[in-house]
Amino acid sequence: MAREKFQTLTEPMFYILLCLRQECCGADIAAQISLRTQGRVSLGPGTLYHLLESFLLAGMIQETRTEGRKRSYIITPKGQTALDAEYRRLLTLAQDYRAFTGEEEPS
Amino acid sequence: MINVKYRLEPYQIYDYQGVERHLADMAAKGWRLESIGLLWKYRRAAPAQVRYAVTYGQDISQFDPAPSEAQESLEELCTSAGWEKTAEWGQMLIFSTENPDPVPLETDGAVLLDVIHRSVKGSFLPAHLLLLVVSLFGIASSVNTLIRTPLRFFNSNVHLFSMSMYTILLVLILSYLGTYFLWRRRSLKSVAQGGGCVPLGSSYHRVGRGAVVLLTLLVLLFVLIELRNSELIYVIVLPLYIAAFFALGLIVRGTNKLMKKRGASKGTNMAVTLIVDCILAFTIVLAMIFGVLHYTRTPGPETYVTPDGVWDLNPIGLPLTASDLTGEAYPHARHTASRGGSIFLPCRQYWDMSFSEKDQEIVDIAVEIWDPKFDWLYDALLEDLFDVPNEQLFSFSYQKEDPAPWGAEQVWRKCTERVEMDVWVLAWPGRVVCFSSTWELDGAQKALIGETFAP
Repeated sequence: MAREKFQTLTEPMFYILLCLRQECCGADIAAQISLRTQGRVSLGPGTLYHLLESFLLAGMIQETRTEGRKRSYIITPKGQTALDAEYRRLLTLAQDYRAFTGEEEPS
Repeated sequence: MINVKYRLEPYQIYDYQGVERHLADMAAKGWRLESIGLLWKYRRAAPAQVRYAVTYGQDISQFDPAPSEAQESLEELCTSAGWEKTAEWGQMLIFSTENPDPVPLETDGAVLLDVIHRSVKGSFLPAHLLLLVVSLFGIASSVNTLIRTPLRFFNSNVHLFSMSMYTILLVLILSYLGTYFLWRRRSLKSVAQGGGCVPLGSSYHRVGRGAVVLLTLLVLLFVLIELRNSELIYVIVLPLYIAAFFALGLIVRGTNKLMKKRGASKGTNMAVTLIVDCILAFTIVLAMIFGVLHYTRTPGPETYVTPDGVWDLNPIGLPLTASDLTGEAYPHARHTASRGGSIFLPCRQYWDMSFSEKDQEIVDIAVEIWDPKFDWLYDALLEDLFDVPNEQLFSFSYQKEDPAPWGAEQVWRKCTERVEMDVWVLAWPGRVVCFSSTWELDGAQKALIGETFAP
């Protein structure tokens, strides 16, 4: 089920994995996503927690340390592969868009 | 002024929207949720616009000595987003904030739906499926009795009562399960189209409330009927039974809390709580059984003893006694009268045992008066009465006899192949009477019996 679930990543999943290319704790992930997307992607703490638990279960991230109630994570090679695959998928979509519309690649 | 109140809330674990709305309404009325146990505890506070949000912790167990690291992590995330933990209810965690524009706890409908479904599979589904099996088993057992021995079924209000209870329970469980699966299907569709979970209607609350009202009415009706039948025992036992199981719930919860306080492991806590639960449930059932036996054993009238038997000091009045029939005054007598059957097949029973000094023997009469409320029940009753089990030496049957002396519509007399017995079945429209005596009745006595017990 987990493999099927992460075949394509939703926006929140994509950004969580992206943030976790560097070790990060849950609260920082939410702040970073909001900052990097200028508030376009908002991640509720419940949703963030459930996704982190799912990623842990699927071996896409690993826990690095616990400080009090704070837990920090980092992406695993498996997670990185999924992130790369999603990036390529998005690129393909963008390329297809340009091919269809004749729009030039942004410089 | 009351500052704390407890309420029994109708919400199900998947109804996070209902819980959030309800708690916000309560806060606006000046009641803040404090904790959730068997009942929801609210404390009086200044009315305020409080926002509530619900999330679910997958590994939360009420038997854990302390919150797991994962749960603490979830709580930390919510706290750092400005939410304050208010209460836990199973795997549901309830947070609140007075911030008018807080970050929502859940921002992805698909994730939330998945989490809710896992919570539902962990607690709600097993419990409700078990109740479904119990109610189906109860109904099947009642239907089996109804088909195989309809008279036995209608001969007691208990059968009617339990079948109605199991049916209401079945409807309730099916409505809860149906509501969940319907809501999940509609939410999956909405999420697949980029939306969130759909709002859950409050129709299942109405079904729940309706079921509670129906069950209460049913219990009251049962108690009233049994009161009419002088079956005080049910009037005492039923509320006691309900109170005892409520107390059981509190004690079990208390045990769980105590074990948690003492830092017992999840396994130890579960084992001890389960053992306490079983012992208490067993004790309650045993206490009820012995209580009922003790109550039913309590002596009726005062008696005295002679070499010929035990007799009532002041025999109760009966519609007809052996003395009325024979005209002889008996010095010693024992009378009993009881009501039985059900609302559809009420039955009264009278028994008179007297001692005749003249004949130096015991004379007795026994009467059973049935008033079936339906024609088919009337026929079933007669069929059952005539279905006499044969003994090894004798073959019993009921033979028709002239009803005129009795003033009845039809009369049958119990016979063996050679002997006519002093047992009769008298029938009028809507009434059947079984009469037996220890002597051969004459015409005047038959007429008096008919006149006394005719409808």
